[in-house]
Amino acid sequence: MKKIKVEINKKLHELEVCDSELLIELLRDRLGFLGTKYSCLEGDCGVCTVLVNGKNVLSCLMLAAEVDGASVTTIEGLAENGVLHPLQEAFIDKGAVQCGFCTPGMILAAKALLDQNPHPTDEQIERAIDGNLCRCTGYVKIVEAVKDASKKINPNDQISISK
Amino acid sequence: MEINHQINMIKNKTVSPVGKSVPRIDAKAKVTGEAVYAFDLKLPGMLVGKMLRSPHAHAKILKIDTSRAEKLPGVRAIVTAEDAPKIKFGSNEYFFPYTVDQYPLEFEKVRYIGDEIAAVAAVDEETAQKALALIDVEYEILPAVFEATQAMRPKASQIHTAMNNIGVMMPFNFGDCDKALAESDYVREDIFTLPSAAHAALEPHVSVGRYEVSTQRITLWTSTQAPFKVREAMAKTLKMEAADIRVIKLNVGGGFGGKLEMFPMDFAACLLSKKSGGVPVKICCTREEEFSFTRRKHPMIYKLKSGVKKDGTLTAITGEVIADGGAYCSYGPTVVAAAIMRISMVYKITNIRLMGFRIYTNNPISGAIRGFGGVQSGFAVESHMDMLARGINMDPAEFRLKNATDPNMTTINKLILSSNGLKDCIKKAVEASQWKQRYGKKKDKSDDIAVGIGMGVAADVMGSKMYKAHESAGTIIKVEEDGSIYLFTGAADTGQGSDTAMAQIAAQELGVAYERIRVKAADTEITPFDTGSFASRVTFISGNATKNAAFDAKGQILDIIAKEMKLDKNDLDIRDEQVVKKANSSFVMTFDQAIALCYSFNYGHLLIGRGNYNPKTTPVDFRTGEGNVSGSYGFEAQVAEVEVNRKTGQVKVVKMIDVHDIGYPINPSSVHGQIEGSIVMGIGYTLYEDLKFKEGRVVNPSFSKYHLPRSTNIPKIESIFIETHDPQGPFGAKGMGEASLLPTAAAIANAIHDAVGVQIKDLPITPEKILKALKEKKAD
Amino acid sequence: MSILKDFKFHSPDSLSQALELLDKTRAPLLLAGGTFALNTLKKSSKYPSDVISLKKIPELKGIKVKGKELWIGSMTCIDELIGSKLTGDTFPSLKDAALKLGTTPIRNMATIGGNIASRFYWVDLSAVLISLGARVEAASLEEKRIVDLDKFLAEKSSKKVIITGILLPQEERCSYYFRHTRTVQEVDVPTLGLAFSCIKGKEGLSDVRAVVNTTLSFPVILKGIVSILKNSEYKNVKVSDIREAILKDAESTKLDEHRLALLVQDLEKLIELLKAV
Repeated sequence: MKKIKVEINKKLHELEVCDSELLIELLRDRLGFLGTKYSCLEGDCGVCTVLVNGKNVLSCLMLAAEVDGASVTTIEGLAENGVLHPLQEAFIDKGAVQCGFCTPGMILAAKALLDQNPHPTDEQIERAIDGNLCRCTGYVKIVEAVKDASKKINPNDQISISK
Repeated sequence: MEINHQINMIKNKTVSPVGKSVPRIDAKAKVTGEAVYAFDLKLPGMLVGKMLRSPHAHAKILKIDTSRAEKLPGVRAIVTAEDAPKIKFGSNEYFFPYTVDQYPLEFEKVRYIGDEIAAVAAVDEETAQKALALIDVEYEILPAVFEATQAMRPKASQIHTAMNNIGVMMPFNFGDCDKALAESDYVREDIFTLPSAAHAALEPHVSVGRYEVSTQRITLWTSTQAPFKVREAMAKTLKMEAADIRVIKLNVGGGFGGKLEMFPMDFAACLLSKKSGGVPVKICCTREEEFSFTRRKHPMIYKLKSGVKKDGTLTAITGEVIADGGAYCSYGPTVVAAAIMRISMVYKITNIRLMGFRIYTNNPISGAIRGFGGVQSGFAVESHMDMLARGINMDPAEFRLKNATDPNMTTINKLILSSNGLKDCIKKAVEASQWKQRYGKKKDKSDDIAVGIGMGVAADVMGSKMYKAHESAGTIIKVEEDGSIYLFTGAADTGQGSDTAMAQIAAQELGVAYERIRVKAADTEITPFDTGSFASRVTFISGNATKNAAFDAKGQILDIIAKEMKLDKNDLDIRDEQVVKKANSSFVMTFDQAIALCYSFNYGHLLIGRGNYNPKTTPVDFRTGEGNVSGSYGFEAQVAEVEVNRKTGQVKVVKMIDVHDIGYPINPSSVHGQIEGSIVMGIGYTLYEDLKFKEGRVVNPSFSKYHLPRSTNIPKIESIFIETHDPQGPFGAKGMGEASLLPTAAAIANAIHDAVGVQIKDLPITPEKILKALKEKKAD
Repeated sequence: MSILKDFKFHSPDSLSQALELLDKTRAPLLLAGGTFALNTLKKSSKYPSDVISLKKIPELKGIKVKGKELWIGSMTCIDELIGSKLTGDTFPSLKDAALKLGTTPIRNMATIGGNIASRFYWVDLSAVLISLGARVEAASLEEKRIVDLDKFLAEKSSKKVIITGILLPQEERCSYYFRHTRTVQEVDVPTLGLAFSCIKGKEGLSDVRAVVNTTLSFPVILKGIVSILKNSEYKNVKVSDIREAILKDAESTKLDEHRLALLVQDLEKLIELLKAV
């Protein structure tokens, strides 16, 4: 067992985890954050995506012990006091949610992008979510939703020239 | 009239929601991670279940000995066929009783690698896994056959009792094809090969079973598209009554036809719970198991020989389809029917002779997958049509327009096509793609990269009856005292948006805001019957049931108002949250006031609306193929634009135009979403996906080796609606689920031909195949 | 809890600590980014007794100029490689290969050291780094050594060695990376990768290096090509010359006809690119 201190959704947790416990197991089984799913356990589908220190990573390929001292964000941490994050709003508005299984990971991947690049082009959005599979939507409305959210998050910024 | 009643204030009132892209009713729970799937379910004391599967493709079971496994600490129950009545089930039982061919747990014979023999419930995953290894099964290995044409040969190993392993033989024969071919100006013969594919829904198959010892009743939570179908099969195989089996569908992470029937793990989870004294048991497939042991697409060999006249008239279409069905039947007959019976929906043809064979092999089970056999048929027929057109130097779009079916016609096999926008779809696709200016003309992007456009058209059934004597769907609507409304529907939302569509239809018919409706769906104990979410039937069939239920509820309300206000009920209606006089839309009272009246002392009428809908079809005679199988038909035309790299053979789909006769869109955003998703799935099947088998085993059971399209692979998609307002559809709607998957492969293959002059007849279209074809073309 | 079988986890905060652990544990597994290690772990018949994370070791981090060389810490993530001016701007082929590696989350997690140490025949970075003249810093309890990357990969791998960094000579080089996949999907394991770099001066090309991956278990240096792409002679090279030059290395590269065709194509394109520079 290993003692770790990890901030999850802005709350500090002091926990004891098994040495071989995966981050996805820490989140789902130990702490009950069922919003994060998994679908392949091999790093190919992106369904298990969470943010660690702001970067979107695959929680099925990380050990729980590795997030000692880190800051983790799951889908449950996006809305604040019941107010949805603009990405969550945009996904609803643009019809980007069908079966919803890819949605938590997809939204977090998009958040990691927008936190780094507030005005991404369609191509940059497509690349940012290239690790997240979706079998239902064909990605079209997902890209539209992220574009829409980017406009809402930083409406007053100058739009940067696409790279 | 005294109103002492709390009036419900609704924020964001969306009245007349049909035709509007209202937000999905389940979207908020999904974007916050709150939505619960069977995958997430955890019950107190829950055990981990695992299936014991055959390692052999074909073998007799001589002995099953679970004694060693039973002694392992932590094992709570083990089940085999001995723990239940030995009754077979099948998924196409009603019309094809001979296809009932599978025991939930095998005890005589195993027929594919993965065939289920036993199941274990233990305290954790590791113990369950160890226990499986301790179950001793003695096999007598039998010769296996993995190829459909081999399996049909006289001396081939017999898999079931069907002679020559022919599980299904379906003829489709009209007119005098030989005469018509002889009279044609141009005849051609082509053979197309279609590979298998995986559904690859992101949520795997999950079954959570709980047996209640005191009442002897079962509750099963399962990731399914068809809870009532599962209940039916469970009742049959467990010899139980329907009312003692509750099948609950929670949120489902995609189905695409792979979750349309009872699976042995559904059966086993419940049986294990019973044997462990009522402890819930959860069985979940790994990704590898999903690819290897659930369902797959029917690989097919599709032969066509057709004739045309100089003026472009199709004279005859003949052919043969050989489908590799795998070890058991599943939805085989429906797949074969879809593979051979769609042609007359699209083309006006009086001479058509097709024979469909579904052959048993010792491969994993081929089942229903989005589009049934229509995807394979779409590729073969639409590629063939392009080649026929080219054979008489006719523009393929013109050719299709010339032969396309019309509205209000009856086809040679007695399909009644009422609303039919096919010709408009083709014309619009021609316009949107600048077909006349671009097709057949050189339009290279650079020295290496050629550009091409290609067309494919398709038709789909929107309210078909092929599974039960009746195909009715039912809806119940309960209007509560405060005006909030429950809608109970059997329709299973697996992400396509049926819950939302039902709420919209109910709100529209009832005349209230969309936000009043709460949907409770797909729980066999609470909701009315519904066959399930497949064959693109839900909007049309379940939607009509919902419309009828809302109409019924409305009628009850208006009855009371008429009585109270001494008005004629037939003069009244409810629109936009108000009771009005039909004639001049003058205000009578608000909806809330009307409800308060219904629940008042003098009336005390509980508002429960009931709706039922059974589509108007005629029985299909599967010996000939004659019969109006569906209440409604949808139509479309697709144009694909591709870039082909002559040097590397790589193909990039840059644009897809889809023009679709959808009747009327209940929720335009949802319809576009289905079209976009289908197109991308179609591109996957055409270019990237390829489920490969070797000696009965899936060779690439992982996302790293079975490539789904990613966000970086999508073309620009232009999705255009043609509204034909179907006379039978709810508010004119037909539905949308599968259709946009049907012509995609051919549209791409035809576009490749336009670009570089080669027609690939064998999917997936890989760079190697294109380079080889280009080389051969050069040599000619 | 239940997905992986048990092992002991360590997160040493110095290189020497990590090397001690490597030495004294029975069946150690080094954990860099985790994208290879934690994936193959599940299917491996040789399960580790101990997993040693390199994440907290400061000696493995950073990208810095050291004299005439650029030093890249082995725990540098792929996204850092892409974003850093020190790597991306000076070595375009390295940036190109990094951009094509996996998917976004994989690039966020995977490390340059892990990529090389995996010794998978198809990894992109090894071929590119060799073509740029990379040397690898490898440490064990016994010694710290610096060796040419291609030689390091040709050696038998040792479980007791930690790659600490990569050294790249800072020179003005033209560098290109050509990568082919079976489908248009970049996530596909490549069917062929050609890494090329050279110095282009007034007299033409010099110090030409061409490296090919995916054909053998380690990247292979093409010697035949070097002989025709030199000085100003490269401008007059014909397709047949290219083919002949590659076939000189055919024995050692084990190229099949399809890959050979792709390679010829790439080299043709390369020559055009070089002419234009």
